[in-house]
Amino acid sequence: METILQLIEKRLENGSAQTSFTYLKDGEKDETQISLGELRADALNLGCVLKPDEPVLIILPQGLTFISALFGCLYSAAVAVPVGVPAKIGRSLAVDKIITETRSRTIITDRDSHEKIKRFPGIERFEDLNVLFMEDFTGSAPGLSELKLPDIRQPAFLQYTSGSTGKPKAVIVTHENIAANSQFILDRSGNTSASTSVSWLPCFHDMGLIEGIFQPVFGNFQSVIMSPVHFIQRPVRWLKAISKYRAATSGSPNFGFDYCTERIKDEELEGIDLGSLRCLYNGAEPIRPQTLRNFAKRFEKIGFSEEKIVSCYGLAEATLAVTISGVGETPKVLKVDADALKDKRVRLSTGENTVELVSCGKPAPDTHLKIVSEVSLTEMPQDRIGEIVVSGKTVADGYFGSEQNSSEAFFRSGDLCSLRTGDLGFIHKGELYVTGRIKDLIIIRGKNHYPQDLEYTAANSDTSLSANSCAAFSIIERSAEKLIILQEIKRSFLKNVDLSAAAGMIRKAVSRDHGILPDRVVLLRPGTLPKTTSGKIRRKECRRLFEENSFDPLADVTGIRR
Amino acid sequence: MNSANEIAIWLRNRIAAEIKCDPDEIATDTEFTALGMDSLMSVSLADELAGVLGISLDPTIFWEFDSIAELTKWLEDNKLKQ
Repeated sequence: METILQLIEKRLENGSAQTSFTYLKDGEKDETQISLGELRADALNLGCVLKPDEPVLIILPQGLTFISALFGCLYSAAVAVPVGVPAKIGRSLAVDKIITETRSRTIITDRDSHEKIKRFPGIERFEDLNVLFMEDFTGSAPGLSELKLPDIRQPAFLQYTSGSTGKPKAVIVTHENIAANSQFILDRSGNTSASTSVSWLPCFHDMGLIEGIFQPVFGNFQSVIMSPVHFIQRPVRWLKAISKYRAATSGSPNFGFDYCTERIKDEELEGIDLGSLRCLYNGAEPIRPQTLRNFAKRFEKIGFSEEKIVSCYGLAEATLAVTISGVGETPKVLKVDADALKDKRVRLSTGENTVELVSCGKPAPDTHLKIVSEVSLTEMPQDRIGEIVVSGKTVADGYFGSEQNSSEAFFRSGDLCSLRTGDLGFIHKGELYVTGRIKDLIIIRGKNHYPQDLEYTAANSDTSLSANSCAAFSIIERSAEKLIILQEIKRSFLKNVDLSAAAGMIRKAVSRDHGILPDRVVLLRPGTLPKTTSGKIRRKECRRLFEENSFDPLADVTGIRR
Repeated sequence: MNSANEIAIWLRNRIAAEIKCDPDEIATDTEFTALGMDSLMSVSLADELAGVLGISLDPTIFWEFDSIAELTKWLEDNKLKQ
């Protein structure tokens, strides 16, 4: 296996390189472009001043400079740590934690973003930070002889999966992981050097990074990138870009599909043709069958059809993709009995009380999937639901700096790396069906939120709220994950608390620090939340009681009124 | 629209339509987050507002200000007089 850098060197040398990156600055017409050769030149300029193995924070907005900075880290064998530029200071709390945890002393940014970084709380503690401006690293490429390219076993980047308030968790992704996962995606998608991809996914997250940046380089094709904000503002821009650049491949978490179906107006579709599209990925979030049907029906008249949808399952801990469905075939949908499902059994049914599950396809030939008992880790029989365990070269090298954490999720036998995904599912006719989660992770709009982080923010938002007596979890409502926060009021405040003000503080703090709003904030009397004997919140029990309406709330504040 | 007042009326109507409530229920000093505006709604509303006013606005404008009153005052002072 070759590293992505060896691949770039070879292609530039023999003149076969086709990759270029186009960034749509306004999400539509205003484009800037960089060829692979220019990208390499910028990257080498930066690479010369970085030290091998050094963790380097990349705090840059979506765009071409981010890509140059990323490859600069790779060329110098430094470890890239992509961090988004937080729009609000509250959301930047993680940056000083990341600096502390990685012991990174180098930040790559641009002058605009630096104005924001300077205001990050806690950043002033780090007096010896080496701030590099990406604008300063352009021009002709210095010789490669100065650099020693990384070995395939070396870490390439750290993928942070969480950590605004809690302990940040970073997955160590090696060059081998990138190569293995990229090869799998390329083989399954069938893209060639004639393909073009369009991506609005954030570059600092695994899906935008692997799909939007590494995949076009790996597959030797062109990539068009736009900002997630431009997509959110007017989702039709995504379809317009696909149409304009005759893209063959693109993708989004499930919410993006619904967002397009609901938001795009008929008159906006004029002149758009999705005929060039071969695979439209749906991944990073649970996939809802109705979402796929609605989307296909809605955009049928502009050349879309359901067999262009490719369903995927994956997670940052396995680089990106674990399973991918076949290109050119509508993802399979299985009808199973709802009661049996609650019992963690799979019973195919055509009766009334059924649940539809979308297949996430098959793993790579060299990736092995097992469904195990979450208690004993022994393999489950065919018709039973259990924890999904992934083994193979796509499994990342563990979590950065947290040995104990790593050993729980990642384990090794001989040369084989395995990962307990924390997700539940089963395999039917060789294809993976994901049915739920063991871990208490909340996924909203493709972004992972750890309940501990949300609970910390909520409980600390007002003096009337008890610490350690908050439960954050999600429920599925109208095929989307909704955030619920249950919070106990301190006994001393019971008599004179302004409940609606307290609920408002929770909503405001969660929105400020995490960018999402709770759909329900439920305030409770002290001692009502179920806890373990050691005082930990039992979130699943909280959810069960909530869904059964078993709490007797002091106040129950709904988010958007409908 | 060329006054803070007109923008405020427009914003109240638009936000009311989004969160499905009566515009009269929205006071101009109510905080955006208390109204149930999340990051998704606020960036798309920023784009719409920019279009209506015919000016360019930072997509994160709704995070810089807490309420309709604060935002419209800033717009009047900084954007409409130019």
